[in-house]
Amino acid sequence: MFEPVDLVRGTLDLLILKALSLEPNHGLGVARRVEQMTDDTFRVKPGSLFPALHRLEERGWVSSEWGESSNNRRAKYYKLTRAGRSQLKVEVDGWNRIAFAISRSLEATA
Amino acid sequence: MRRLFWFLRRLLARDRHQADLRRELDATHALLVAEFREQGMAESDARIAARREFGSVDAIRENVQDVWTGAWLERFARDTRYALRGLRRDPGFAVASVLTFGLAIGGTTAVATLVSSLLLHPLPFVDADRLIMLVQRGTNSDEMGHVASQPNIEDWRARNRSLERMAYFEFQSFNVSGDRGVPQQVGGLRASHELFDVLRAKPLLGRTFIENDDDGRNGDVVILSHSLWRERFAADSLLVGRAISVNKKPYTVIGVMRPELRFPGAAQKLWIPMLLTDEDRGRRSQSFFAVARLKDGVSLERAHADMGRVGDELAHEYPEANEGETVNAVPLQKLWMQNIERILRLLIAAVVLVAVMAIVNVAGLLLARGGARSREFGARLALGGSRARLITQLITESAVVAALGGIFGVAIAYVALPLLVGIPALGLDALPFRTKGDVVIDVRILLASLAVAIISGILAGAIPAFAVVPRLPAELLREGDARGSTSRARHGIRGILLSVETGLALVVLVGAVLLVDSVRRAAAIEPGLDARNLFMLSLALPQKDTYGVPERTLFCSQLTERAGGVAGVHAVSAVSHVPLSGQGAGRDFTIEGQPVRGPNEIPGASYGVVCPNYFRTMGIPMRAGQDFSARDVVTAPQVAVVNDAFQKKYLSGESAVGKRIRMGGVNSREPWMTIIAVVGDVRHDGLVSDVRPYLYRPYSEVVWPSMSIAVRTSASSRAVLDQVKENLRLMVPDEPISDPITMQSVVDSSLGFMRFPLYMMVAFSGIAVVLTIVGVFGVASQIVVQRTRELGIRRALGATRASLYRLVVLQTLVPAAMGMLVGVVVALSSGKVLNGLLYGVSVTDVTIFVVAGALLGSMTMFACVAPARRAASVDPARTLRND
Repeated sequence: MFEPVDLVRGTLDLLILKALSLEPNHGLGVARRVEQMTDDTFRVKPGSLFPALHRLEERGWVSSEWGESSNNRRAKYYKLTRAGRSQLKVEVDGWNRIAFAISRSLEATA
Repeated sequence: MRRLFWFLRRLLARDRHQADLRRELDATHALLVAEFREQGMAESDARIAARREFGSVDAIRENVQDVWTGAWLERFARDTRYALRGLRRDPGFAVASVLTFGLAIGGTTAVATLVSSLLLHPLPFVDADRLIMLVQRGTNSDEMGHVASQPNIEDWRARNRSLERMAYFEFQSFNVSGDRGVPQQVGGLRASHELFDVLRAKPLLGRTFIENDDDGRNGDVVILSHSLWRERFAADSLLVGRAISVNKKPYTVIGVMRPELRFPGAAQKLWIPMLLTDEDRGRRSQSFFAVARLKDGVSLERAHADMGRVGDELAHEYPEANEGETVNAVPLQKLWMQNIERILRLLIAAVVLVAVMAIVNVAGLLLARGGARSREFGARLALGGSRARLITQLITESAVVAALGGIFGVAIAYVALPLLVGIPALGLDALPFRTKGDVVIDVRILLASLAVAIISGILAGAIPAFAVVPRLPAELLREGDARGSTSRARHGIRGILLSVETGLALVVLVGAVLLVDSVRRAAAIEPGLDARNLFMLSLALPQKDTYGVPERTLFCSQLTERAGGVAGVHAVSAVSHVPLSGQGAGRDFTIEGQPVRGPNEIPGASYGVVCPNYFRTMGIPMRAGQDFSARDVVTAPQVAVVNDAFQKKYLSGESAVGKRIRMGGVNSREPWMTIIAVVGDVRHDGLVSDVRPYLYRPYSEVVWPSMSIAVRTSASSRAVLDQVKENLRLMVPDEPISDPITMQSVVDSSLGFMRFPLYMMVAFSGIAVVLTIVGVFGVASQIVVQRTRELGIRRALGATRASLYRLVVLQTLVPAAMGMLVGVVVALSSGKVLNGLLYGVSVTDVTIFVVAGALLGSMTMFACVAPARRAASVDPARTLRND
């Protein structure tokens, strides 16, 4: 299992954007969604989750507002902005290129 | 710098962000607990598990904050780069706004430096805030205070409960001669021995006064200032213990003070002990100032009340000397700083107004620029940019402009300050305790100026930023750049900015017009003498005890002989106190045959000692009687000459010639003297002061230690005056003789305290008017540019050129006129700041407002002529086709 600390920052951002592209969610919800999407390969702890969320917000890719969670608790909900949606596209393309390049290079040396 | 950072952070609502983050983390924690509970954990276990999962809350908070700061810095750098690029593209705007801010910041920096180094910076004494001056003051007078008699001061010392130590002193001028240099006249003090102990000033060499110096048991001793020691005695370290010649008598140098000690001013270069004379001990001979140090824990207020009590006691016990007078305790530097404080107060007011105008002006320029860029903003909003980001960016732009302006302004201040402090009218040469050299721009002021610049920039940027950035992008994209709600908001703000600007300009202008009018009126006052072709040279003379009766008589006749004989000299004489120069002395007297009056009505007059021919030389008209003559000697019956005001006040207009008076009160044993003439009034205390009773005495009867020679020539000729000076030197080889100055310059400089603020206000109002013209021009041009299409349609529908012209002019002049009205109200209510600087006019004078209003109004009109003309010449066909 990867330690989330080792997770490249960009990768975490990408996963968060992806998680939010499905539906708006609060911080914990985003973490759970990432775990679910990666079959628990990535466990996102609050220590890296919140800085990442706020970084994305600063860049204008996500926006936030207070709302109610499914079990009637107050939580801050994050939502992908229009700019975030196009950024996700850019990042997915970028990731695919890198992943392809890396796996190809790994196969070549193996 | 850190304060600035803090300010900017606050501006970005960091606190609110943090509270929000804390709430978010708390909420998440609660969600986590709930999750564990759902998995079947007990409440307490769930909490522990949640905490473990969560990790350190502080660490998370810190990390998130780093994200914010990083983002903020990055954004700031980006906005700054963007702003600089924008400025390069629009050099007109860049130059105009940087200049505007530069002038404002330059002015603020210069004035702040003056205020800080002259008023706020502590005086160069140990615990200077515990030092006070004690002066006598009329109970019902608004003066700060005046000199007191020695017996009174001794009673103050004996009866007070608030002073630790006290000293008293008298200003004198001394003739230092006998060593290698030419005889030199220097200012100094005769002071009681406690002086330097009160000041807690240690000497550089030797010692300060001790008690034995005060009664002469140690012989004649003198302490020198550092500057006199250095300049005249080449900083000779062996000087202490040796004798130098002061007033042609040997005085032993006992000490040299440190360079920073000036008491009271740089002009006081030596101090001698008191050595009280019989004359000093009279309760009515007021000639001393007292300086004291407050006891520990005693406040100025308490000392003031305490001294007031002592003063009242003395008024009660010695009514013939003290009735109607009390004692005033004032902070050390207050007493001699009234003029400069007044001037600085005015400068502060002016500079603040101009700074606000600069902000308003740049806001106006930015508004115009914003209008031109509204399509750009609309497009950026439509592409997902946030409104807050756009506004922040606009504000950064103006802050960058202001920072550049601030740097430029500080540079202006660096250049302007030395010129400013060099202006004689500011009076810094005679400033007590400090010198011009103390006026320096220090780091604090530098930082404060830059902070003020940036804050001004933020303010200037914020006003238009909110107006030009639309709430909805569609607004701008749909409607183009001419109409819509933002355009309306912009229009309103434009009007308000214009009003504020003209209003402020009017206030500054009213101040300038008031001062111009005051000086004009004051300069038109007749001084009472003929200053043309009249020159004054000052001359220190030997003290009375070394100068016998024959020599006294000789001085005036020798003067006439030696100087009067020079070709080109019409008349020559001498006087103890040069009129309008600020010199003066006063005496009480009794008039023969007049009933004894109450203690408050003892007659008093200013007093001067002259040589024969004085009145003719000065051009003072002789009303009745005969001038002094060479026959008036000590052994002859004593004589005096009085002025019109004297005759009017004390003799009810009855002819004074032949009346007898004598110095002192009813019990005086002074000899009677006969008034032999009445002469015209001279405005001795300055052009704007009232004429007061004046008493002239002949030099042959009353010797005076320093006399000024008055020379009237047929033309202003350097050679004639050089010859006069040469002849005087032969007459008194050991005495210092000053270079001649024109009497006209003495008359002029008596208005110096009014002229300096006048020049400053005229400069500031010039800036204010230029700013207004720029502002009005900008607004009018904007109207024309933005409404070209509308103007074209109006024209097509039959509007005349004149009506379009009127439209633009009215749109500019209406807000300007409203601003001026508000300016009138502000000026009326803030007229106090000019107190003491005006003569013959007041802020409630309607004419002043008419003049200022007309001036500003015509400038405003002038500024919108060109844009209005352009509006009138709009070609309907072309504008409609273009759209």
